[in-house]
This record gives sequence, C-alpha cells and structure tokens, in this order.
Amino acid sequence: MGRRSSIWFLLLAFATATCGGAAPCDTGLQARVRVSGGQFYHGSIDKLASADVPAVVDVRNSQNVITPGLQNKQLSGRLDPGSTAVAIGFAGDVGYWILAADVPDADSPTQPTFHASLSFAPSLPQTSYDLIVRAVAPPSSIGPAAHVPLDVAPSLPPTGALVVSLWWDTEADLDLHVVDTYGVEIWAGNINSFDRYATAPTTDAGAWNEGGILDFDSNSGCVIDGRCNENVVWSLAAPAGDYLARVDTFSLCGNSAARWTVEALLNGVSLGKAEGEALLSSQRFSKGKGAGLTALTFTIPSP
Amino acid sequence: MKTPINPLSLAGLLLVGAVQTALAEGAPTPSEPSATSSAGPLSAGETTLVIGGFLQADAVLTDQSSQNQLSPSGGEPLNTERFLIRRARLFLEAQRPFLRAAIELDANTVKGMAMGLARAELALGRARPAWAWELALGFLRIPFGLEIQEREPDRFFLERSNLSRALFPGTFDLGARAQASWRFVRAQLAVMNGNPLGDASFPARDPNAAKDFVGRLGMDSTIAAKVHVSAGVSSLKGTGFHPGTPASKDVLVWRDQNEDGIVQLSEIQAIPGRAATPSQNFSRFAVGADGRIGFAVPHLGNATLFGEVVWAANLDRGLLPADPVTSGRDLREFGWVVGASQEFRERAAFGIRYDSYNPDVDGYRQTPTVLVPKDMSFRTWTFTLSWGGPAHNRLVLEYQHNRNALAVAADGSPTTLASDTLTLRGQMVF
Repeated sequence: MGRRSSIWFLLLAFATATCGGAAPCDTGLQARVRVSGGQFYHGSIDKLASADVPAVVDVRNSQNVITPGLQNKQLSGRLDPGSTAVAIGFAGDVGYWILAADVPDADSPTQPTFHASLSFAPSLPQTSYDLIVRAVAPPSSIGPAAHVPLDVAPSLPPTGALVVSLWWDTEADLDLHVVDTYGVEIWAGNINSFDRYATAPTTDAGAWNEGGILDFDSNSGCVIDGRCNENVVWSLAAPAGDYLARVDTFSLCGNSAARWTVEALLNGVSLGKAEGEALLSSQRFSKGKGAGLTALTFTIPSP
Repeated sequence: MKTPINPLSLAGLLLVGAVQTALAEGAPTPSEPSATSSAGPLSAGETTLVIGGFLQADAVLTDQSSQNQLSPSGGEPLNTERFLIRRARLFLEAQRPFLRAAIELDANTVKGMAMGLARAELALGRARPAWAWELALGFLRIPFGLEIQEREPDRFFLERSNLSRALFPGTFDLGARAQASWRFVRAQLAVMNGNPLGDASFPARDPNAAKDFVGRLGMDSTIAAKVHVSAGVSSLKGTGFHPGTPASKDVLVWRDQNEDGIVQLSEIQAIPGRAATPSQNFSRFAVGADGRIGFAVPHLGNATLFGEVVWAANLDRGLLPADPVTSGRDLREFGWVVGASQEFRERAAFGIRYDSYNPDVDGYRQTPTVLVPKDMSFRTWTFTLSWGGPAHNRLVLEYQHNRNALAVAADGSPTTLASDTLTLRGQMVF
C-alpha cells in the first residue's frame, strides 16, 4: 500500500469510526405527526424494542378527533419515576419524536411529566390513527406503549341547496367568484348575494340567509391557512336561472402554478365540474369585481 | 518627474492581471499584505497601484445536515449540497510615500447573490528594514489572535475554526488601528465598533457609542535556518448591546382549548399591550494566546504547527450570540484549536486541525429531577488535502467531522446533530 493510499485509508477509517451516534438532521416534515421542539428519528415507534419499565402513567388529551393540518394540539401526561424523555409517534409512520421530560407536578412529585405540542400533516388521509406515547429512561430503556386513538374528521363539503366549490393544490391565493341569475357577483368583496334593498322589503331577520354566501377567503393576501378551498353556498333554495363561476388568480404566493377544480352541486347532485391551471400569467388580470376566468356555467331549472 | 495615473494603463494592468506583493517579504509588515504574483505593480510618479484578487469556488459534495426542504421557520432552503462561490474578491491598493489606501470588494453566493465591501482602509505609515509603524482608519482587519489575521487565500484550511467564527463572525470591523514592529516584536492596538461583518445582530453598524479596544502583542522571527516562529497574546475589552423592544398593542387571542373549532368566550384571551423596554449595554472581553512554528522537513517540504486558545465572556456574536441581559448571567466562552500541515514537494499538502469551542462554560439543563451541567461544546476534526501548493492556486478537498450538543438523544440527553461535510474548493489568486 502506497503512502497516498495509506492517507485515504486512515481518513476513511477515522470517519467511519466517528460517525456513529449522531442524531439525524431532519425536519421530520414527512412524518404524519410532528412534535414541536422534539428530535426526529427514523423508524416506526411500534417497532422499537420494548422494556417493562418505564411506563407512561397517564396521557391527557382533550379531543380524539383531529383535522388534517391541525396545529398546536396539546398532549401531556405523567411518566414513571426515572423517565427522562418520551417517544411520540403514529404507529407505522416513517419516524417518531423524542421529547425531553419536564419536572414533576406538585401533586405527584416523583413522576416526571411531558408537555407536547402536536401538529399533523395537511395530507393526512381520513382514517383512524394510533398515537403511541412511550416513556424512555437511560441508557436506552423504552417502556410499553400508551395508545391514544385519533380519528381524522372527514372534510365534507358544506351542506346546502346549491354549493359551488373551488379547490386548488398549492398554497396560492385563488378566489372564487359566482354570478347568480340576477347578475349579483358573490366574492370576497361581496360575500352575500342577498340585498335587502334590491328585493322586496322584508322585516325577516333571517332573510340574509336567502343569498348565496362565500364561506371563506382562503390564503387571503398570501396569509396561508392551508385550506385551499372556497365555497359559495345557498342554504335555502337557489333561484332558478343561469349561473356563472369564475376563478381569479389573485396571487400564486411564490408558487409557479396551481391546479384548480370547480364544481357545482344542487342538492348533492353535480351540475358540472371544471378543472384548470393558474399560471404566473394569470396574475396579470385586474382584480376585484368581475375578475377571473370563466370556469363553469350552469342552469338551475325551475321547480 | 511626476506622471499622472493614466486610466488606460490601469485598464491594461487589469487585463494582464498584474499583481505584486505590496511589501517585501521578510521585512516588518504591519499593513495588510497584498496578493502575490510574478508581475509588477503599476507605478505612476510617487503613486503605486496594486490590483489583484482571488476566487474561491466550492462544491459541497456531502453534508449530513443537508435536507431537501425549506426551513419551517424562515423558509430558507436547507439543502447545502451545492456549488457556490465562497469568495470572489477584487482589491485595489494605492501607495504613496507614507500613505496607503486600499479597497477590497467581495462577491459571493453563500446566501444568494451578494456583493459588498470587504475591506477599506486609509493608512499613514513608514517602513524600514528594522522597523515600521502605521496608523489606519476604515474597515480594518481585527488585530486578535492567529486565525483572524490570516488572509483568506493564504489559509490552508477552507474556513476558520468554530472558535474564531463564533467570537469574530467577520475578520474586518470599522475602526482605527495603530500597529508597529521593531525587529521581531509586533504590536497592534485598535478601537473598533465591535460589530464586524457577519455579526448576528448589527453587522458593520454600531448600536451603541461605546467602542471595543482590541490588540495583540507578539513576536515574529526566523530563529534558525528554515525555522520560523510567531506567537502572541491578544486581548479585547468592549461593550455589547442588548436591543430593547418597541411598545406592543393589545391583542385578542383565540385558543381552541377543547379543539372543537368553535369560538367560545372562555377560549378568548385579551393580551394587554406592553410598554417599550429600553436597550442596555453589557461588558464583554476576551484574552487569547497563539503560536505558530514553521520549519522545513528534508525531502518533503515545509511543515507548520499552530495553536490558539481563547477565554472570553459575552463575546459570541456568530454561533450562539451571547446576551447576558436575556440569560440573566454572564456567558463565559472557552475554546482552543491546534493544527498541523505538511507540504509534499511543493505540489501537495495535507493538514489536520482540531478545534473545540464551548459557548457557555456554565451551561446547564433541567432534567425531571435536578439541574445538571450541560457541555455545549462544538468540536471539529478537519482533514484537508491540497494539490497545487499550500496556498494560492490550488485544489482542496476537506472533510469535517463535527460533534455538538444540538440534538436530543433517545433518553432525552443532548447529543450530536449529524453535520459532517466533504467539500471541494478551487482557488486562484491573481
């Protein structure tokens, strides 16, 4: 072996010998559940070798129903004496999180506690999950699993006689504009088509509910809320006639494109569906009333 | 006869890349030395112009901390395995009898395309074979320790150690400096803003009127045939700045405590606004010692051994910025670095460096039952292979093995967050 080869061999041998033991540098964004301030490790939490102790004494959780993209769900509990950390993760997920244990509560001074702030992946499929919490004690004892069942709430479309919905796939600011049969445009600048003075005068306090109502201006001004969905809903019967739905690309918020879908449902039955793509060029058009490209036209038949 | 400087001849110099050492090697050299080249400087009357620069282009081949994600907090790319221009420097120095002015511009792509001032100094001085003195004003190299005073293209390792980069995130600061040399004695003293380029809070600015006093007293001599020794002690005494906060408005906050997605009165909290808090100053200091010995190894080439140790308080401005007002106690830092390099027949060289830096010697952490000391040290082994010479025009391959306390081990204790790197650099000085 030459001198040059010897140097390389020594370098590689040293690197191999010293690389062990380091924690991976990973944000854990691929995991379905994330723990604020925790250290992410690869591997499924339910596959870790289990010891009899330490155990999780109790877990405090206020709701077993979660929604995709939910943030700051609080989870806390107590651990067996001697525990120094907890491992938290979904069974079968790509990884789990290690969170250092906190000081004991005054009412149980020998039992370390933990306080976790959880967030969930926006793409979380609608199903039931088994959130596992395991106490850890030095040097490497990982106790039995405490199970917290969590159900993902179905993201059902809003109910109503007529529902016009817009979805898109990136964190862009797209706006739904719907023009009703009277020519009234419903959008973020006019969220309700009901006009007390345009129709016959009424003293009915709930008359506003007769109009089509925009439920949410998603990602407004690029303040990302993650919903990427807007709906105009007529809770009561929608007037018969021709309707028009437009999609306005207010801003792509730094994204290169957004694929959108518009669908109109009359009493749960589809009247039409359209798909398209918002590109950077789509941002050029004027904003406000009348903005957007026509995506869908449909007709409400007379009763 | 005096001849005015002709811009055309200046441009011609740029074309041929004529550069030369500003001051003769071996003589006392209190001023920033210029790049080396075989070509001569441009002289016009009493004015001599020196133009030069260097380019360092990096390829980060592997980095354990690299991820194909954006930072969840700042949105910055977390991928660090990339090509980048680490430094592209161009400098111009004008010398007249007793007077010298230098400007150095830097361009890089470390955090996107950036260009800026790297050095700007106006100096009055005189040099003789046995002695020299100089008074300088401007954006000057900080006279502290060993690593900071090395010019970037002359440094054998790719970057300075964690110790040096934490305490001095930039090697230049705005201020005034006096330096003198007599035979083998070197002395430097500077008054500076205390916020060098790279400072985490106010780079190249000064939020308080108090200045930092920094200096080095040392020796630099050839003590025997082909044995060169330099050593010194450095000190810094200065004032740091804790920023105050502006007044805040009342805020209404909804916390969905029962996670039902519905606003309830019990879930609405009024957070009253808070009056502004004043900014505060705090004192900081550092003391260091350094040494280097260079000698020729028969049949191989030049070898260099060096080391540096620094004690400091409240001085970290780059890695984990020290703020004793926030922490409620002084943050004492301690670090040291040792290294060696060996040339092989003037074409290749190999170097090893080990550095350790603890940003909080008194650090502790809370376990469920007790407070325990926490060793927050950053330790790095650096292995460097260089082809083309120990400095200047060369190709460098460097592996860094990093140990730190940034991650949490399975039992909740601090452990190393993987961040080893392998980097290839091409460098040319012109």
